[in-house]
Amino acid sequence: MTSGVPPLHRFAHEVMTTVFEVVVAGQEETYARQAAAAMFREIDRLEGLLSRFQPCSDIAQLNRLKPGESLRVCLEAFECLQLAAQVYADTGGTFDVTVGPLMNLMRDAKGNWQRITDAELAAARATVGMERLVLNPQDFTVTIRPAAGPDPSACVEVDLGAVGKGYALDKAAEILADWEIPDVLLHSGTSSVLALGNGGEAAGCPAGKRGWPLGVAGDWSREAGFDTVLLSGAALSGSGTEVKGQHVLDPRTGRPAANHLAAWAIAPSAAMSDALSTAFMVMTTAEVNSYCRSRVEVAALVVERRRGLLRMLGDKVIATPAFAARAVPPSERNLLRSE
Amino acid sequence: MNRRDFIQSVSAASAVALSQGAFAQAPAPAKSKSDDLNVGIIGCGEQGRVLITSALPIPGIKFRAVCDIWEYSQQYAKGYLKKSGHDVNVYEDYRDMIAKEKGLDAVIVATPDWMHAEIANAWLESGKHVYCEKEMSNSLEKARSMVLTQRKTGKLLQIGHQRRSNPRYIHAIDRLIREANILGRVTHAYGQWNRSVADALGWPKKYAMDQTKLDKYGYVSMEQFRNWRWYKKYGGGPIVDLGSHQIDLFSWIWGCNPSAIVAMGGADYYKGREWFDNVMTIYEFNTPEGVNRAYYQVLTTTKRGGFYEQFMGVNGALTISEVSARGDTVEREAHAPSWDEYAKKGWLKPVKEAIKPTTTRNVAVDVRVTAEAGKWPLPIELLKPAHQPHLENFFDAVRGRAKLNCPPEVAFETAVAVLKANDAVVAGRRIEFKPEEFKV
Repeated sequence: MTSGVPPLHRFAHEVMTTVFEVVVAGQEETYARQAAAAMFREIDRLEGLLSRFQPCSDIAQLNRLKPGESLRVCLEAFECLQLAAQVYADTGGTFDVTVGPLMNLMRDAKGNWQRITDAELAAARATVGMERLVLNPQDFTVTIRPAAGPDPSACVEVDLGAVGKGYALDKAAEILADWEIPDVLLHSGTSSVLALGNGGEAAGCPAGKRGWPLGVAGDWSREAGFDTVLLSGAALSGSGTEVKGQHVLDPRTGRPAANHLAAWAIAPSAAMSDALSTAFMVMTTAEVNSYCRSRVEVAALVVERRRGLLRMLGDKVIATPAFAARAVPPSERNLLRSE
Repeated sequence: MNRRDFIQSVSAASAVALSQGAFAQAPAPAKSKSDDLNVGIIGCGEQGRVLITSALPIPGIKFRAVCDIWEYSQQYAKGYLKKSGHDVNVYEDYRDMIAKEKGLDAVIVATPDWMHAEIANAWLESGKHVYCEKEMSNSLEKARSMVLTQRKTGKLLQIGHQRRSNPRYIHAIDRLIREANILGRVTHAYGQWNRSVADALGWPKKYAMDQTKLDKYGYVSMEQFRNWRWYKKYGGGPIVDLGSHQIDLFSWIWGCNPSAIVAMGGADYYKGREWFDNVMTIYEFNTPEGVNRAYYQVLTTTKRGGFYEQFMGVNGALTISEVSARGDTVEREAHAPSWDEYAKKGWLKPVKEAIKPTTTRNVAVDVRVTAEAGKWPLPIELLKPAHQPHLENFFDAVRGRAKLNCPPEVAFETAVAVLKANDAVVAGRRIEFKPEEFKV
């Protein structure tokens, strides 16, 4: 241990088919470990409620409903669906937790894209979309609408996927707030990271700055001119083609998303950044630009298939509360800028 | 705007957007108010929260009051219920709650075990129906008082052995094993609940209770309050916390209580904890068919094998777990009578039979190769949270439409069998049960 630099404490836990990790700064080790354990118990609990693979979960129950039927879901599942519906609506349907049947039709078990007819595609597209879920915030019921296509009786296949993991990070952060642990980094298997407070010198935070340095831009960092952002009070999620191949489907067309090779989103919550990084893969650059322009709390970095890299910010530093509350000069409001 | 404000504003905004028809709103379902039940909960820790989440989807359940001595749990329960649309009054002392909450129909008790009897009895005496977590108590005298109070008051008392209401367990035990006798004589049973090594529970500093308050409610320290399951004053240790659910099944299977027990175990791994962190026990059941035995282990230093139960009979073995991925099949012995009729009735999922007995060619005599037993999956899946059917059974009984699946007499028998495991560890010898020990 370097003298004078308080150490970071790291704790990991396997849940939601990934490994969650928490990095705690500025705390005594036993206290940090107990807080991490409390947090992981909460994530275990959320998995039971949100995983479509657990037959007792609300999401699995939802996926068994017939059109016309309703289910009263728990607060947690409702909040995830509400957020998913919001992002779906705000991003023109580019992020869709019901897209499963379309995905299954378009890609085989190994992930290879299939040749299918226009009629097959149209039929599958009619079974997906958040319009199939009627969310009633008064009584927490979700009602399934009949599919518009040839098979109105088709069930829905909701998969909260990364949003569920992001939501778990947000809930975990609430537990850490109860424990008064302000300086912490949480991630769900590295695709989403929630950075709170200050990692300090031990986390590699530059002197005079606050936050947690996070790697970003992947293989394109040289073109981007940066490979790190300093994040605090916000979440960063990445989505891309470099790990799993071309894996993102455009729910609007059923075809592979062709606009971007990779996308990162920064948002105040991990559930939000998770959803947005997927949407930003699918949206056109102009659409991403327009989305971010009206929301100062959201930033994007996308790698364009044709034109190369787009930069997220003029500088590499995003720090909160400065980030969230920052007075952005009009010229900088366009968070996306062509190189 | 900070993170938390943002998150709240997103929720609020989407709630508004949704209710204003961004997505058409479902019509409010017309339901009869007569089915509504006003419910309170005492004990809002980890188990209390599981029960709240499992009760909320049940139609007609209205939470009206919550009680916990710990402010942190009060706040959690109040906040969770408020967000879920239930405005509740909050109490620290259950006596205060009894005095003020006259309008409740039923209460759920999910406090540490040592307080179950006092609190459940007080609510029964006040005329309310009670769902009380297992174990009834860490003292058989207190458990006995619950049976007596229930009898005296005539109010309902359901004890939280939730497998008793789980359709998978009911199908496996009542239908397949007891009614169809597909396993033949079940000569042996096995159960285990193994958990990984775990630190003692901590607490957020700002929510530490002061010593005056801890003293008032009988807790030696904050450490003991949080880790009550490991201390003899408050609980029965892992064999009771975990084993109770599964040891309860042995008497369900055989329709009688155990006749003797041997056990070993100890407080061998964790420093400073009173209860045994590992217990291995064998129960003997003197059934009309003859002596059958059941082995049970609870380990808290390894999760190997997780939690499941096995019932092993001369014609086959049934493996089941509350989580179906851990156990969900019946294995048929090669010599057993055909199970096809059960598959036809839908009592088992049909499977292709495994290897048939065969002969080897190069030897003078036929050699029977042991046939691998076919594995027949159970046809029923629990499609709701694990505690929900048991709560539904309770609330249906409160509405006069069902009989309790775990009344206090049944749970008392289990408590006698389970608490004796700790006695047997201490005694270090075989202990006989007297039939009258199970009676109240």
